[in-house]
Amino acid sequence: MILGYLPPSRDLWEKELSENRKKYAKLKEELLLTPSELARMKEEAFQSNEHNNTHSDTAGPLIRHEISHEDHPLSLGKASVWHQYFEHTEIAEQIDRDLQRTHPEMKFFSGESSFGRKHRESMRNVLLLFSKLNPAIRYVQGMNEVLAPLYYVFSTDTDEKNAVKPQYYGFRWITLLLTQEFNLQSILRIWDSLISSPFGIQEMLLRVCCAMLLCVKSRLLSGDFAANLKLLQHYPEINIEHLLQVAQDLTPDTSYYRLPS
Amino acid sequence: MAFVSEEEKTEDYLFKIVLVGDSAVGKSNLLARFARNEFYPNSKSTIGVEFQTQKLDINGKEVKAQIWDTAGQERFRAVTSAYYRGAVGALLVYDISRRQTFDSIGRWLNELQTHSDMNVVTILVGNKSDLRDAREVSTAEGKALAEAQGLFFMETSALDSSNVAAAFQTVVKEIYNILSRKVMMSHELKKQDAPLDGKTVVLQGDENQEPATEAPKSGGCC
Repeated sequence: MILGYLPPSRDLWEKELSENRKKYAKLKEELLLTPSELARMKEEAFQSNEHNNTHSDTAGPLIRHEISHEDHPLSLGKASVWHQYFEHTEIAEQIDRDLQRTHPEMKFFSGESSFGRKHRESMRNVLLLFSKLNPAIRYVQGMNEVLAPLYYVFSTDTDEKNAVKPQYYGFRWITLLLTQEFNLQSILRIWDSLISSPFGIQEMLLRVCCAMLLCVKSRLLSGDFAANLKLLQHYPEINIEHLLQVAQDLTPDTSYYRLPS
Repeated sequence: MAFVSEEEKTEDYLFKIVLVGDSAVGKSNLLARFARNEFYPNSKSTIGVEFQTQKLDINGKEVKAQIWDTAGQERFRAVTSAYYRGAVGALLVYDISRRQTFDSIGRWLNELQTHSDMNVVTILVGNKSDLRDAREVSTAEGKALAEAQGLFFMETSALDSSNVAAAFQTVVKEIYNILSRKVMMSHELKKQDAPLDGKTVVLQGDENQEPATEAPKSGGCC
């Protein structure tokens, strides 16, 4: 909101977001396609217009592309679409090289995992589009570093589909009172805490569940859907005393609701 | 215009597959055998859902199966149905040594049809084929039911591994084929016709993206 990315009124967020996403998809389509893809799209649009207007038969022989001398791939003219495309490829390669060394220590940005590759590709699109829309600035090394924190926050915040829903792990945690998550010694220790807690068994149980999430927070933030779900369904061995301390010290955020006076 | 080759896209495919069937028919062990080549004679009952991913090679393409192993007990149905969302494949499992688990298949099929949002490629699996002396459901019966319902069929044993990988592969391969046909069809349509907005089949490797937004079995739609 402070960045001006979202309007102040919460009700407008969804609309604004979906409009911006549409705009972005359109830009991506217009600016990142190869000239041959572009030519094909134009041809299709042309054919469809023809189809709509005159109902002519489009099943005839393929129409030969009208390629001006200017737009031939081997043309050296500066205005040729292919010249622009090759220039764009050069920038893309520079960006790719820089993205390879953007936070290489974080799985989120690096490695050959499908999500590492996906994130780098998305960031490359962002930087390429920026360079196309701001031809006076283009791509300057270091932009990758500035983009990284923004991209990280937005992609982990808004990806609804990638949500690891509590039903997928919390259902078993709660219904079985954590008995399938730990070894028997640890279970006994946790149960002692549950039963004797001044908060009551139920609240203490929920606190322990929250603490379990907090204790693996950094791994959750850097993992993808599959990794996170596996982590939570096979909870790693941790220091139980520490876990219980975290559960104990949790302070519920009551700023959202007013307590009855 | 062969000057610049079309960018080779390394799309990976991700299919969500669910394992359903009565309690203790061997769903979790089928998955353990398939994904980790392990078998636990006394594995714990599944509460809610368990999750595994497994890579498969289909026609030289890497396909990732995201397999959701669900709880079998009746009492869990209210929650398990939530796990079917977005599934494109299913293994419907019974135990050949317990007729009662075979009798439940109809109900599980119903369950699948009600809660999944598309036609799901389904294989009927008669598990525990190693228990020859205790068999209560004949192979012919299984086959007949599968044919009547339009399902694939296979008898497996998670204990001795027979047909386990084959059962998963059958489902994944069929999904892959349906999808490939769809992509080809949509390309054909695109060439002949106006671009159909919103009808493109999305085939991205996006972790949680549902591979197809339309029913995979509805061959000649549009």
